[in-house]
Amino acid sequence: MTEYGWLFATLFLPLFPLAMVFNFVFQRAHNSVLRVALLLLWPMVGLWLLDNVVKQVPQWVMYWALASVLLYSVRMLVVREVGIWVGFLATAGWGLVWLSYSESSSAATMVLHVMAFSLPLVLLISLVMQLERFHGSVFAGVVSGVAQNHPRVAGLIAISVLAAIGTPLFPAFFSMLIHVAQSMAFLPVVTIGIGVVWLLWSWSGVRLLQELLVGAGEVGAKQDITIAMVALYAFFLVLIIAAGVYFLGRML
Amino acid sequence: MSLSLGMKAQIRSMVFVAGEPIPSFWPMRGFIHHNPLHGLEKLPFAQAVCKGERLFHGKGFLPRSMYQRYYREGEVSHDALVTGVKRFLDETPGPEGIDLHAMLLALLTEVESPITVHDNKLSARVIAKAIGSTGQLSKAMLEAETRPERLEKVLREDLLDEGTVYEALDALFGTDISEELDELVVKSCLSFFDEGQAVWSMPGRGDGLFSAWREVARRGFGLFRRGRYIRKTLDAASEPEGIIVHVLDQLGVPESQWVGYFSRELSRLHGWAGFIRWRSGARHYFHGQRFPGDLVDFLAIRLTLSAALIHERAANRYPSTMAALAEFVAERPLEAWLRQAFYRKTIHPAWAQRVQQVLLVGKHTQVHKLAREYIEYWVQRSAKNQADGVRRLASLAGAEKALQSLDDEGLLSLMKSLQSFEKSEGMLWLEAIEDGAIQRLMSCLNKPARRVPDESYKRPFAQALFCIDTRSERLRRHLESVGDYQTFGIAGFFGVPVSFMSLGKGNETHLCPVLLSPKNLVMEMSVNEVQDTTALSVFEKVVHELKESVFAPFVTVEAIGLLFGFDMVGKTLAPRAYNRWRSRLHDNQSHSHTHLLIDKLTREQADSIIRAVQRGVIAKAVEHEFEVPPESVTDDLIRELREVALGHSEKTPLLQQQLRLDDEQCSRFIERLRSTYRLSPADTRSQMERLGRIGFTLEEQVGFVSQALRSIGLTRNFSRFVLCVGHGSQSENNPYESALDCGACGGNPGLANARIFAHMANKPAVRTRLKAQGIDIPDDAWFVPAMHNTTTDEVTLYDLDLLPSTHPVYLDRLQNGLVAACRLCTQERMPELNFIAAQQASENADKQAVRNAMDWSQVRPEWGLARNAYFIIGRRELTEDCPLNGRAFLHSYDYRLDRKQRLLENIMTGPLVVGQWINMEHYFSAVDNEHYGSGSKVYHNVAGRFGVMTGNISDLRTGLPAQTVLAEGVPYHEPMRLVTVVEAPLAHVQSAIAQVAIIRRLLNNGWIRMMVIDPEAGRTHVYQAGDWQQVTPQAISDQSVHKEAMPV
Repeated sequence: MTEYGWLFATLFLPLFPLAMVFNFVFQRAHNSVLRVALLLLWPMVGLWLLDNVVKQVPQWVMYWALASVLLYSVRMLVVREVGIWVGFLATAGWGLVWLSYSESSSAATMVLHVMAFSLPLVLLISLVMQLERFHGSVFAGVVSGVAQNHPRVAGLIAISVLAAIGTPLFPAFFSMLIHVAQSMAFLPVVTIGIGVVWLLWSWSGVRLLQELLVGAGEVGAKQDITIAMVALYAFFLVLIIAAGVYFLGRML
Repeated sequence: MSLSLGMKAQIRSMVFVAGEPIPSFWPMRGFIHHNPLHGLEKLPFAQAVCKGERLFHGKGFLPRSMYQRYYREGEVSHDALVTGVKRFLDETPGPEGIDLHAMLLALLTEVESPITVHDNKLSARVIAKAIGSTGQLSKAMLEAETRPERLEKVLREDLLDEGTVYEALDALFGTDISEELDELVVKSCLSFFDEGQAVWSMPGRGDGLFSAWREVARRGFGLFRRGRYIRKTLDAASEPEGIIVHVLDQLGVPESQWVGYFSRELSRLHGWAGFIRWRSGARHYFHGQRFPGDLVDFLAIRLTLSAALIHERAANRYPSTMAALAEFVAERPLEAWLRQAFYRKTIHPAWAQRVQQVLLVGKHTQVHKLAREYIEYWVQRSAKNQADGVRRLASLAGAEKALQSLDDEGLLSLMKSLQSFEKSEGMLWLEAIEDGAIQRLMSCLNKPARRVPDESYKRPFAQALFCIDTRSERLRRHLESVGDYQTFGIAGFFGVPVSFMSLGKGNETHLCPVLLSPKNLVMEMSVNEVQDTTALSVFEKVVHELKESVFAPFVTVEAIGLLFGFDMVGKTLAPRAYNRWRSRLHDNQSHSHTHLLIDKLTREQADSIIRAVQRGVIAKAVEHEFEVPPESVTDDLIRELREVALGHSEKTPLLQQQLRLDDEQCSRFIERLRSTYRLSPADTRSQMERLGRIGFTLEEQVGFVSQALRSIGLTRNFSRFVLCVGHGSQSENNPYESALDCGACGGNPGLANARIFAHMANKPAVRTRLKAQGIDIPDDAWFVPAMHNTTTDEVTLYDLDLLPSTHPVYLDRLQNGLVAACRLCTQERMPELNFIAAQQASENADKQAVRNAMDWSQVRPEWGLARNAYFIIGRRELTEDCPLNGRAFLHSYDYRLDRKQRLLENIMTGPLVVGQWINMEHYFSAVDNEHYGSGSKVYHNVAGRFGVMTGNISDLRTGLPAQTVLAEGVPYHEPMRLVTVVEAPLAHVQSAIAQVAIIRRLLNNGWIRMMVIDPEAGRTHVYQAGDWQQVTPQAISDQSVHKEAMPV
């Protein structure tokens, strides 16, 4: 069991093709609590497995992980349903853990890396669920002009997407930087791969925001969240930034 | 492929017809306000708006919620709406048994969004059924609604009859050709039409648009991917007409549809098409003559590129001809429906992901099954939404029970009435707003009885002739309030159409409405002593060239980057102080005295000028070509060279002797004088012709002055000072600056016209002849040109050095009056710019206005002509007690001096038409700023030095920017048609209108509203529904009018 324990872990720190399980479950979960729980707990199972069950991970798993991360990053470019996009980004972000995993990795560090991606995505998916309630689904392009009709939600979505794709100051940025620094020391090819992944995330994130937020918006569809909710989201964003700077920033 | 001459002519005429609805676009250096639907003015307003919606996708009316806002604010009266609804019901009676009147009123005033959808996708019958049933629609109803034949018909009309091949491909297969095609065409146009912005210009531009593009397309790297197919298309014919025919044949577009197809192609980039259309017809336009291009070239390029893109994206994968697309729609109407819903992004979001997956897999049976499911869902949902809307409306109108009692036919009739009403309600709102504006104006204007008779006037201290521009109204009012001033309104070119060549410029600018073509040229000459401005000029030139160079940033940023930083800090933090300092650097240039060549030259004078110029050129040529000092070039040598160059003699002994040249060198130099220095008999003839255009004959001067003075009713009682006030604006970093200048001067500042007019009117010979015509201008009356800066409201007097010695003593009083008027004017205006209450107006408003003029980050230096609403032709007494808040064009006119209506005809032909263009430009820019306006200035980039684009690639933005017509996202300019008021007897006005075809058309088609105030009969008439109707101030909207049945 322990010899192939890592294989179970690839289900929870998902790598293709086992990542399809997570994405299948995530796409069909239409309850916001369930989705938030999935984003927070699913990778924790993987980390627990790595920490407690897995003895050794073969070297080639790293290349598999990189290929899987690249695959989902490319898919993020074409997918326009925002819920699915969040699932793909989570898959790609968690998959990066495999690139810096070694027997000596501390469990706390791994949790920080995973949370660096999960927390902004939790914020994003809860905002997306607000829009879903109104439109039925958030398919970028078909749903557009969110900035016109739901300006507060649009602003928060923009910041959350930027946080999730590793824009400076957000924890995902420090996490990516750590991955880059670590991989550069032993395998520059992987560094290039991580760089490409980062680029793809930025590209797809900006495309998504452009299709979703910009535009005329549906006539008579104005509805927005309250100022109190905005303040709450803003508080969480500040908290995430502070935590990222404090916990991950000092690892650099 | 080689086309016959007849076929080529046919293609050209088809393109001409197709281009007619495309509004011309003038370069922005001289922004011309124009009606974006000018090409559709032959249609009634409402029909033109509908056609414009189809062609340009722009809306012609505001959304109902915006009109409701006007209603709540009291701009629209309830009575006007009641009248409008009544009029609609008279023409389109609805079903019996329900109070449709109440329902329509509730719809107008209480329902924010339309409840029906204006397309033919869902039949009224199915919605009527949905109103009648509370649950789902029956299976039979759904089947009837989703019959393949019905879907096919709707799709054919929508996709194939109204669109191009690539638009249909984009809608059905998501090929994204349209956007890329537009981008490629814009890039091609930018390269060709550039007027000095690009550092490297397109090669071969002199050969014309299509030829130059053709050469680049064959070799250009930008089109490399599609190069092979483009080359293949280009090989099919050598002329653009041949290419057009070849591509349309390939796409299978039947010849009967070509004109419509061309129109759709042109309207996709109507800014560029409008620019090319104007340019190809502008004979005086330097760049147009040098680098010719027309709509046929433009279409040939567009079609070549579209064929290449269709080949790349669709050939072998999708049906890519008109016939194949029609067949696809006929064979698979359900799939086509689903596809267009998905790719046009009109699908319900909850279905989008599933549909995308199924379409990507592409299994026909799955697609068909999903399509049926979706269309049924869509029919159910759309019908239910609209039915719910009708039920809510009935509840608002207290007609729920009546609605429930309607049978199927009654419901169908109700639904059709609602659809028809919502389709036409824009006109109802518009007329209601205009009626309100007419009411307000009528209650404000002075009644004939109240007017002070002219005879009581004493001689005013000064008279001022202002432009009819709406911004002059405020200044006129305040000037009149501060002292003994009398003001007049006249088109800002003072009735003198002139082509002007300003100091140091080599090209002519037409200073008159674009409808006129000036025959006379006026040149500006410096009378200053030679000044040493070389150092500053060289420095400016170096900086300019460094900015333009491709390589400069790499090598000079450290050296001069700081300099630009200094400039930026100065302009941003202290614009007023910084600009004062900078203007001191240019003191020498800005205060140079100039003289205008206004009088016609005699033949001897012209000959003498040419001789003098040619002598100067020869002297410079000898110095330059042989590097000899000036003292070596003697008069005899110059005379000899001139005679030989012009063919009057053959030998050049002095040249040979003084410069030791052989025969061959001499003949080479003579040839060079002829070809390079243009010293040939032909060039001399052409120069004589051009000189013949300079200036005005005495008769012309007398004619222009007389006509101008008569047209405004100023024929006696002249003051000591008669100011001729031109106007212009001042702003920094503003490509739209000329839009704020004088429209009557072709979008240029009006100072030159003011100077020309004043010069003519001050001339003793002119005055002598005017006296013979009954216009006696006393010797102590002096016409002084002045400039009204509309951004700061400052008025500057010019040509004071020409003032008679008796006048300077009064100058102080005059200037104090102008300063006082300026300060009052800015105090009235600035609160509107700063969105504060009038009571909060600061005494420093004039300083704020100056800052606006100098602040490079200011996107709205002034409101310009926004909120224009009226065009009043009449005596000042009519409006002098009525503060019109800068909303009216005021043209002075005294019908008593115009027995034959000629002056009124002239006012209608020129100034009124310009006013209507300005009004329509503002109307459409305010109603749909994205399509008819030019969007936000924040994203604008100057393109080729003649236009602006949004972002780095877009259509040329043609209308007014959002900052000019909108305030915080809603219209600041109240969109309504120009309310024209003429103070004259009705018959007098009717005769004038009968003579001016363009006004007749505008009036009959409802592009302007017209009101006649008859001072003799004491009645007011409004032109409404084809008739002149007598009205009282309260009677316009409630139709208590007495028809006189006097159609225009």
